[in-house]
Amino acid sequence: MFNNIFIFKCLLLLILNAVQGQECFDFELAESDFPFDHLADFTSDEDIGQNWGLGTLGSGEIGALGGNDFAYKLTLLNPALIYVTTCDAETDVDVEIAIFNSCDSTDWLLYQDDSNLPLYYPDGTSEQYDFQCISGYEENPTYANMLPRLELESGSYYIVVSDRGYSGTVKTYIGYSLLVDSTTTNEDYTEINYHFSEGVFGGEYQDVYNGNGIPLEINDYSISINPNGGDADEAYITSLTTMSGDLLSIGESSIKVNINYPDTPTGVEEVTIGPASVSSIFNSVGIPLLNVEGITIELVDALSPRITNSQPSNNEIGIPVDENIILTFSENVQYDDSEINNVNAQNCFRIESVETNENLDFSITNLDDTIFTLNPINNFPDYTYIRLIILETITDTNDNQFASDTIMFRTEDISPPIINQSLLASTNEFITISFNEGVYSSEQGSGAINSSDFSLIFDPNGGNCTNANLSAITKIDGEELEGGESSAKFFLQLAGSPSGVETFSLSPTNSSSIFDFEGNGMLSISSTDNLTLFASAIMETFYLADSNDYLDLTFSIGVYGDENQFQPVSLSDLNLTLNSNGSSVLTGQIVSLSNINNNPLLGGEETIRLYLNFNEQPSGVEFIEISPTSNGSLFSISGVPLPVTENSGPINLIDQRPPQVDTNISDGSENIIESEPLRITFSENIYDPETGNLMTSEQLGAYITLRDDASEADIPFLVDYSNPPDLYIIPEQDFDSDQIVYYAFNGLLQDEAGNLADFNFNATFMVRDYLPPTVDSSILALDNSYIDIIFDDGIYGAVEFDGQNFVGISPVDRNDFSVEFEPNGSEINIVNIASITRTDSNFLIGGENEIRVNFEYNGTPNGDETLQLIVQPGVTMYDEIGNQLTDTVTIMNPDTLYDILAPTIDMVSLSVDSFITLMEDRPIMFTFNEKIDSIEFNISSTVLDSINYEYEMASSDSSIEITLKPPFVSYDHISINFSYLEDLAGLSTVDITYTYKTPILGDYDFDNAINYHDLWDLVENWELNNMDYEIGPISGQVPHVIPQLDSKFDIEDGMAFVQMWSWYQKEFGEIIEDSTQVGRILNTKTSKNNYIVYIDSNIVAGQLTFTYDSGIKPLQFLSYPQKNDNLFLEFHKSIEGFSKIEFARHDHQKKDSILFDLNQHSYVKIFYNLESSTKLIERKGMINYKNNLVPEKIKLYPAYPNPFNPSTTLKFDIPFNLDNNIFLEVFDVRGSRVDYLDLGLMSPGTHKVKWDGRRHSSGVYIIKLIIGFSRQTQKLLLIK
Amino acid sequence: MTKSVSLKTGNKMAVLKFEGWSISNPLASFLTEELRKTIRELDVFLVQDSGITNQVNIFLPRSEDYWACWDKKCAIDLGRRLKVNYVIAGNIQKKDEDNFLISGRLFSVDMEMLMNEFVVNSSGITDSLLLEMKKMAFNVSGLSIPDSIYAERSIIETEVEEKQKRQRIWGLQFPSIPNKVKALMMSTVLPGSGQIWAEKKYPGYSFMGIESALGISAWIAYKQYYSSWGDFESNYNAYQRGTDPRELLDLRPKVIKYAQETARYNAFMKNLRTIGFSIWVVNMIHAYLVTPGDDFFDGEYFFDVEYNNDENQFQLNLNF
Amino acid sequence: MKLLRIILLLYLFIINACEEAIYKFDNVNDPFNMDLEPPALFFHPSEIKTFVNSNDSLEVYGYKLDSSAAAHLEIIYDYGSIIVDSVSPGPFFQNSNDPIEVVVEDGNKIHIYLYYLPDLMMDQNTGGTWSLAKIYFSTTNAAGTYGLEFGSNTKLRNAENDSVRINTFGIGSIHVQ
Repeated sequence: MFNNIFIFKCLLLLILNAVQGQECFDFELAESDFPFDHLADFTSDEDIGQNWGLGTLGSGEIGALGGNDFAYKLTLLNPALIYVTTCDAETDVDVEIAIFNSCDSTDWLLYQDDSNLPLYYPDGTSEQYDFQCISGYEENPTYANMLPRLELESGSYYIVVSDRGYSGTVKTYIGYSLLVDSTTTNEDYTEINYHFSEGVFGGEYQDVYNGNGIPLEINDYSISINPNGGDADEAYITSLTTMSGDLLSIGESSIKVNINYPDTPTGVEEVTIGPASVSSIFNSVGIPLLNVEGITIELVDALSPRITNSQPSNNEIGIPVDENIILTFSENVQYDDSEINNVNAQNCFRIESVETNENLDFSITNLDDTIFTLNPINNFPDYTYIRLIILETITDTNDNQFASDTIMFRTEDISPPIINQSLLASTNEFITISFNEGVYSSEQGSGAINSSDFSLIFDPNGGNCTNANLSAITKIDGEELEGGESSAKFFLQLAGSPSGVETFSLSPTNSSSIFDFEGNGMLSISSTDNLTLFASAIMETFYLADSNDYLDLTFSIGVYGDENQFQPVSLSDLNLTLNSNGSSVLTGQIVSLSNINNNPLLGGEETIRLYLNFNEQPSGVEFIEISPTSNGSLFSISGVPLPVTENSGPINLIDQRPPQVDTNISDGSENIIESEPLRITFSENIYDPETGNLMTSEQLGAYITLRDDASEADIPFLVDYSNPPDLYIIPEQDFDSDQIVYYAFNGLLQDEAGNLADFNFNATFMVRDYLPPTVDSSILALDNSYIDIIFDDGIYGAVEFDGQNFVGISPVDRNDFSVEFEPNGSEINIVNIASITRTDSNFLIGGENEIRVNFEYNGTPNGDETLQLIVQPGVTMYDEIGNQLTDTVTIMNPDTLYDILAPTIDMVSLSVDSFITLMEDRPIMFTFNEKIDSIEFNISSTVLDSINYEYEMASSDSSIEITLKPPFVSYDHISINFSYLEDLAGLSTVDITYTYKTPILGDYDFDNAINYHDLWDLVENWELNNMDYEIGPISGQVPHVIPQLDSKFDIEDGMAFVQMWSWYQKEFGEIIEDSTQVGRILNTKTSKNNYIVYIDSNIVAGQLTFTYDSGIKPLQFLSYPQKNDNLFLEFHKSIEGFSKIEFARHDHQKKDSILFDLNQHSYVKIFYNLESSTKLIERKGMINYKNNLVPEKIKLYPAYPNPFNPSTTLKFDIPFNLDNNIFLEVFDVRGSRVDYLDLGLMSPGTHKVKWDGRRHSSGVYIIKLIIGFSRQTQKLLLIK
Repeated sequence: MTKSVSLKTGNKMAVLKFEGWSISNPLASFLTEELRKTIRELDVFLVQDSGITNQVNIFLPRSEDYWACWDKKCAIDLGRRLKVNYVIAGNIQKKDEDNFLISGRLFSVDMEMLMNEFVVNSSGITDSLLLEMKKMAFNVSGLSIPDSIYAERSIIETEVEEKQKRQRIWGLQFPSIPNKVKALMMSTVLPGSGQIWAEKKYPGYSFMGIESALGISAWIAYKQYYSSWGDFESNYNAYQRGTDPRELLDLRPKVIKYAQETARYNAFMKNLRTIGFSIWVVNMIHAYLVTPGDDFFDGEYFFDVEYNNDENQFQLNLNF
Repeated sequence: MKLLRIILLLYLFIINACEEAIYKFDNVNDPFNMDLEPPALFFHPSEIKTFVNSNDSLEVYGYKLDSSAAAHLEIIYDYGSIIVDSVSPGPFFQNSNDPIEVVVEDGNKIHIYLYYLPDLMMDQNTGGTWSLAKIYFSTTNAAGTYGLEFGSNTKLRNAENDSVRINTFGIGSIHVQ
């Protein structure tokens, strides 16, 4: 059925073809479309054009182009080499190819079935190629066609591809064949540039087919060389690069082949280069470059001859003066086609001295037309640069001209360095010396010369300058010498300003101090010329004014401030040196300059006036010296500077200071020894102004006053001036202890220089205390607690001699005193000195006139006792300068103590805070500490207005009995207040109060609490009808009620108890955390979620108190089997986190248990107290129950307390482990963050953190708790 | 073999609703939609959806009614607003009972010119109008009208005859009911539907809304009543069975309370009933009054009952 | 189809109305029917039918009592007719703690003292209708009908120890067969 359709289709195509006329192609293209490619899709039956059934081609082997075919009409305008290939991945069918000249299928040009099959031609011939080809036809990828080079004339051709009926796709490429357009080479043929018709790829065809062609490699090329008799018989390709020398990538159309010739070609060789094979160079679609025969290039020698070696070489130094020059050329050279010899040598070579350009004669020897020796007729001058010029007239055998060249070298240096020239600077500052060559300080031609290498010969010739020496040597530009310098500056230091007659000269110290580079040492005889110093200005004379105000300085010739004679001398040019010579004149400076007429300096003046200034008036012992500030400060009118060594010489200052006076006892001195004489010292000898003679003792006596400062009485004295300038005043007898003495010296006198001094000197001083201390008085305190002792002097416990006098070092001590005490019947028998202080109770430091001795009594004095203070035997006390107070001195008489014992109560029969039973009389006995003269007391109750009582005073007046009478109110405080007690001494005491308590009604066991014990007592005794326990009916307000007993148990008794119970729970319901352990630990067990407490059989009553997290649900009490048979009380205060369970089981005792649910709480403290029937505590203590209750979710509990001050506690739950820290941020109302806490990492569970608001003001705060990604906020109120 | 060149130029086209002269709007828009659909199927133009085209009047209001967009300026302005390359506008006139004149114009928005004009005479029933619109679609697309269109025409004619034959077969020739009665009947069944059918939308929807509101509040009241009744029953039974005095005392007030609640809800529902009923009657009368006479109005049934012979079922079609 | 259902319901709604709630309070245990003027104490059940040598119980009930903190119930019964086994406090004085209960037997009388044990929040209960106490008794072998009544000492007190008003005291009977 398929065939019918197939045939039908063919017929149809045929018809169509016929109908459509001659045109028999499916696609038309021209050269302009190159490189052309097209995918013919035979599956969609594109073959609707002419059917090129080639079945008629030649013999049977030829295929039939059966099946679908696709025709490309190609029109070539001129002959061309083209390629046609169907080798491509998109060709997925066994393809055949044929080329026709026209639509006539018999007019074919060639046919090929597969790439590895022959190419058939109409004339029956065939050609077999093995070009590589791969297509997408899996069965056999080579069943395609690779025609890399078809030589076609201009005209139209029909290229037909056929799928042999297998229906697939055929990709056809058509384009110009890959050719080498041209090649170029460089001069020496080491580079050959290949220009291809399109981009080329190396590697294998497979690589290009797979699309990743690799760049050309060396092995893609082949090269061979034919020596043709030349030197080069080998040539290698070193590398392939782009034209610019970069590495090849892929697809370059021009490639540079770099070639190396081990032996330099001589110009006759032939090089052949081309692709290594037909599968080494490809275009982008895999068409190979064919012309494997390659290109042949002839190597013509184009190189000009070169000098390959010269002896000496260029720029060589140290060449012996008689050295020959040897030249070696790169090849045979000649001159004018003939051998180079002495005749024509002058036309080829030229030798000359660089410095003088003097031509130097030479002769030449020619070894082998390549090596030549030039022999200088005379020796070369030493240490001279010689230049050899080789001229262009020289050629090689191929007439390649030699490029002219020069070789330069220096001959060795054999002569020692000499001083060429020396020149003294006009300022005498330095000499510039130039040598004939660079000089060094060492033989090795290194190191810079220095001053020590030279010696200076100086001749003053009577001039002012007495000497000169070499201070430094520098380069001409002043820089430091480095060695090898051929000229230098030698700096001089002159001793004094030269007169212009002084001469000197410089020469090497010896012949081994200065060398040239070659090590030739300068001869010691070589020297500079004899140089004469330039005359400068000399400081000749000076005149110092009497007042030391100014100094006139005269120079030999005029002077200026600068070398150009413009500036006058200025302050900074002159320097004043002061020698105090022990006086107090320490500073002196030149303050201004002028000429002798006090006019400003103009410059060139011979005499200059220097105004001087000193810190004090000179006393005549001082010297000054004037000199230039530096070598460049003062210049003579001839511009020669005065050296700094020039100076005026020492100038003695004139004495202007009047005589001074000093003394050995300055004003206000103390502790002066009573017999010490007074000494006055004058600064110099003193003379009588009238007579001008030296003063005598007698004369001076009139000038002296000596008297007691207080009484102003004169003190007789003697005068001694035998050793001037010291004057001694000697009192005729010792001064009094502690006396204050005044003395003075007044009068007009003068010193030797006539300087007058009007003396008005005076001073006062205090004579030392040399008498021992005494007690003026002693005073006993009114409360007998101390005695004040007043001495007439400062008192010390110990003194120390500091080399000159005694000095008090420590105060008296309580052990320095003792007490003599008589009790005279008083209860007191012990009196101690508690301490010794100052009267202001501060510690003694020594030297106090008044001291306080504090006493301790073993009771209160009642006025009968006597007391006396004495100095301990063997103890000595001192005043401030060591005068002693020994134990033999009586410091006070015995004294009687004051009565200060206040009356009080010593004993009470009923101790304070005891209970007073409600319904009975209560007597209480109070005993006093002494007889009582008068007494007042009152009894009060906090609740009742008054209390009934009776009282009775004992006969001895030293005790009283008070009896309290019911009715009393429950839970009351009864106070007995003694408002006034007075003893016989009139001392009184007020307000001694004794308070007693009445029990809480119903608190049968007096434990200040109404609990299960009391309830148990009531119920038990109600049923026993035991009237002792009756408590109702009652009157008054709870809790202060008054029992009105009716001796029967009824509702009233129950109501009374219940009302008291209710009040008590409200008042004292809080918990007492008593964890002391008694007996065995509570028997408990945890099962599933419950907590079981076991009650032993012997337990009769018990109390279980629980404390847990506040604010959560109250404790869950689950079950207590025997509850109904017992008294059972349950009590919860969950806001404050505590619950209480009390039970009493008074009849049958069985083992029992109580069940609790503690799961709501992360921790619970259980305080237990179980009692047996004998009311003994069987088990008591505390258990800590931890419930590692992991909260389900993050939760922040309400802060407690809130409002708060100053801190509040934040409790929060963390349900799981967190990776990051917990943070707490606190914001004020305005939203600004005021606090930030990093709480660190926290484990799951319930945590608490406290925030302290102390540092913050009152107000609303918002806290933000950051737990992982959760943010919990809460408002807090801080109220201060 | 030459492949017919595909003129798929990818040009966008908007087909404006054809103006109906003496034919109803619904019929005009139905025929315009047929034209759009056919052009779109021919896949030459990208035809804009009717929803977008019709919005142009809402979002881009023009002074006058854009349906009369016959002239070039108006068509090109609309084309630019609709962001299309071509616009078709036209009108359908009913000459007499069986003769209609369809005229259409094709405008190019980019070239701002009238591209083509079509005029077709059609006679007979709506289906032939549909055929004319299909033929116009081929003309607009520049395509030759295929034979199948002609064949289709013959099929339609045979269908018409069959339909008439079928009607005759089961003889259910609906009597031609006057419009007013139709409206009355509709409003009777569903308040307000008659008015809506008669194009009096606001009163129609009002009646419908009121009746619905009343219905819903009646429903709520009934639910409350129902729960109160349940509480009453449970408490009263507990009281009768109870033994504990305290519980009995507790139950008494509850029983009384729930009994009172049921009574209250009951009364409320009765009142609702009377109000709802009277409004219903008013709505029926109003529908009758407001519906125009037959000659002026060829309303499309708000709803119709149709016999579907394939599935042998009556089908109630509602058309809001 | 939903619309149809609504329409049908509307029709149903229009056609039929709803049922009226009718009731009658005739429970014997209802204190309201016991001819008591509140606040009152009564026996529940007021009539007990039991057998010889058997156990039974009765409750002392309060009807609309005011807030109370204590009660003294004096119950008089025909001597020898019953033997009181035990008395347990009812919920009237119950809070988080059980009430204090003291029972004293006195011949044909039984004194029951009950006290509300205050906690932090309340000193007395809120009153109302509650059982005050439950008396467990056993009958003897003497059949017959015996009376129960409250003694004159029966009284209630509030937290301030003031008497609580009781208008009527119920009476009870025990029919022993």
